[in-house]
Amino acid sequence: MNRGVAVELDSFRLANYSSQVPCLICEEGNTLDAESCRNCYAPMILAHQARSQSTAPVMFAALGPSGVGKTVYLGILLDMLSRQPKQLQLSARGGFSVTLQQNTLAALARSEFPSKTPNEPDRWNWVHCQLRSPRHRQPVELVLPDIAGEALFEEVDHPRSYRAIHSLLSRCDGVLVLIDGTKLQSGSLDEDYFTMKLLSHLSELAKDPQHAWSSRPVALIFSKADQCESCFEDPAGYAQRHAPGLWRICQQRFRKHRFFAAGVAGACATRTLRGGSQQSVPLRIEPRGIVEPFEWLVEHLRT
Amino acid sequence: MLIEQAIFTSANTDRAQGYQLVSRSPGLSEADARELAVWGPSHDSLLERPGGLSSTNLFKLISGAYCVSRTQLAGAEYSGRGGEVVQTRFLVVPAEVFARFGNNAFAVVRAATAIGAFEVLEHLPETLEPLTLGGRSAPVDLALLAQLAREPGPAAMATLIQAALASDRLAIAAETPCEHLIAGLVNTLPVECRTEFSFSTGLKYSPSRPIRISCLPGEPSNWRATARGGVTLLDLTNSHVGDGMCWKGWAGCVARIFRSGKLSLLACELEQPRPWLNCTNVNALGEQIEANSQAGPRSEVTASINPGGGPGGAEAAATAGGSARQRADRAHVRLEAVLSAAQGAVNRSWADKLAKSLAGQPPEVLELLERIDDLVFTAISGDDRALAELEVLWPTVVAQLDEDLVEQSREQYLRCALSICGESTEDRVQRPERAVSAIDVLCVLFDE
Repeated sequence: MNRGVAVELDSFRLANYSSQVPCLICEEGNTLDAESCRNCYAPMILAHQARSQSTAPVMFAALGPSGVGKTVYLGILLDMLSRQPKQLQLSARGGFSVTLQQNTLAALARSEFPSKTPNEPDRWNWVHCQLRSPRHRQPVELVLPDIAGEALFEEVDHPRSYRAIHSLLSRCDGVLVLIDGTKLQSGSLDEDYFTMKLLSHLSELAKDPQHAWSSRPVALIFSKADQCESCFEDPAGYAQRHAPGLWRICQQRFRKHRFFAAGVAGACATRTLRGGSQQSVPLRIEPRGIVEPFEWLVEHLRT
Repeated sequence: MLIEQAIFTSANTDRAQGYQLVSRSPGLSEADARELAVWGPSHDSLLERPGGLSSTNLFKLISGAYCVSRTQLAGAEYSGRGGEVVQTRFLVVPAEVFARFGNNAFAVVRAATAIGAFEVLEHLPETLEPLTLGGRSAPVDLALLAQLAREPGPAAMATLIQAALASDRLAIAAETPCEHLIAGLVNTLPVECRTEFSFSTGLKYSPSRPIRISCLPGEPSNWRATARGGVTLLDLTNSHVGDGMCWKGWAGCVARIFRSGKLSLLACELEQPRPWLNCTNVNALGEQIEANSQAGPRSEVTASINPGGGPGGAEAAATAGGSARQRADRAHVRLEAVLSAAQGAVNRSWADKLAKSLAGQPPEVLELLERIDDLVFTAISGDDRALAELEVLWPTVVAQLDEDLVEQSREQYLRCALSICGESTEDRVQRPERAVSAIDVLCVLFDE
């Protein structure tokens, strides 16, 4: 005996494609089953997850040149806030949001730094999580990408080269700008110049005075501070001494800014590999000053 | 015309850190440089495949030039982090130069490799000299096609062509090295259509680097993510791929040419310039070639013989009803001489027997034998293309003809080859290359 079955008509299935889902980052319309945005290549799962909430998620971005330690900083930060019973807590939304902290911690456990974040936007790690803090009654949805330093540099030099970065910087609610403290201490001005370029780029982004970057929080973090202890004592003074250009631009253009110092590896060594090349080896994990910049950003969120 | 070049890799320079255009020639335009900097593959971009990690890539720049590039691993990361650094050398080839190389990126890569342009540099200079690539290349690499006609075979190649023409993005999985497969695809397409196929032979698929033909990783569990990005997947790893399939248009035409072993016919068609041709009307061309080959006068075909020579010689043709017109290239002169001078009466009776045997064969078989005759003697005279085509056609002949006829043909060619070897080594060595070519032909005919 035949039993009746419900078969979805192909034409009905195709009708689903008539309604588009806007990308959370660039707002470009995408098909319902698209994996990444056709315009900026951000994962569409962010948009699908965000649709379930009534308010748009908060976006933060970690910025800095290649090799400054963005991936390590974010990985450790997420791991600390997702495990420790502190006032500030993060809980991942979706398995993809755990990948960054998992990869970072796995690499550090092998006494290695995580490998470079690729330039291709579709290969960046995106984190979507819920933030619980005493300041907010309800959990706040938070989106936090780990973007490649090279791509950021290219976007700053040639705006709209990377549509994901352009849209993210236009939309995001606060930034964590990482600056290599060891390079500044060695007298290199590259970090100073890059950060000045970046901040100058940010200050020119929003034309609407209500959303101008001058009123959004900017946390400036001297990374690898475990290798230049003086950073920890007085980060603002350190900035004034070693990065005067950066310090001045912050004073003039960003009302909400603050300098921090952070370090993850308690000590580092160099290993010479078989081919003669050298590899940095983190000898122990000793996070310092990781949560404070993030806490400060959350405090200064527009409510 | 000059070919501007650039190197994209990870380095710590005065300008920036990490992946960037580290070196470039002064003539490279700012717009092209910007496009290359965004396109450039970074860390962990190469597919892991047996036989080394590298990729040949082609895409068209907005400026109208073609970017031919090679991506390779180049040692450890400068920053001391894990993983090997990826280095890509871009050649910005003007359309006129690309056309000189048959719009074939692999031909450009061969020419550039010959002058050391794709060597991985340990110490990168700030500026590079623009390149000049002299010469030109044939539109078709017959040796490669012969190789692909054997492995993965006509069915897989026709499937690949049909899928490539029908898809705007295609990712391939195959046992055959992807470099060979995509080079084969390019070689089987008309020159005018080749520029429409951007490709990468070994880079991981990325939607931010839109290319028409790419390759899939060895692990099938990773394929779904690519498919979800709207890419058509073609799995050629199955040995029965294409069995029972019916190919239309250009793919069908190539399949039949591959199966008949007449690769020179394909080469001949591809060598004709057709400026109006593109991917939308290439199928019509395939059908037209098919129709022409079927409608061609039988007499014309069977008449293309030479007197007295090999298994498909004049006697056979005359018996089959064709007119015995002497060919201009007289491919069988050598054989005729061998028969008359060396063996005399014995060979005459042998030739009579052969003629009798051929008289009973249908015209298709005679045509096939004539083609083999042509190929054998052209290959013995040192033509590599003929040897490559013979390598494909001979197994078809062995499979289709009576064993007796095959053995008689082998015997015939062996006599000819021995005579050439004898001539080359008697008294003093003269033209030893002919003897070597004759031995190469024997190796094909005797499956050695």
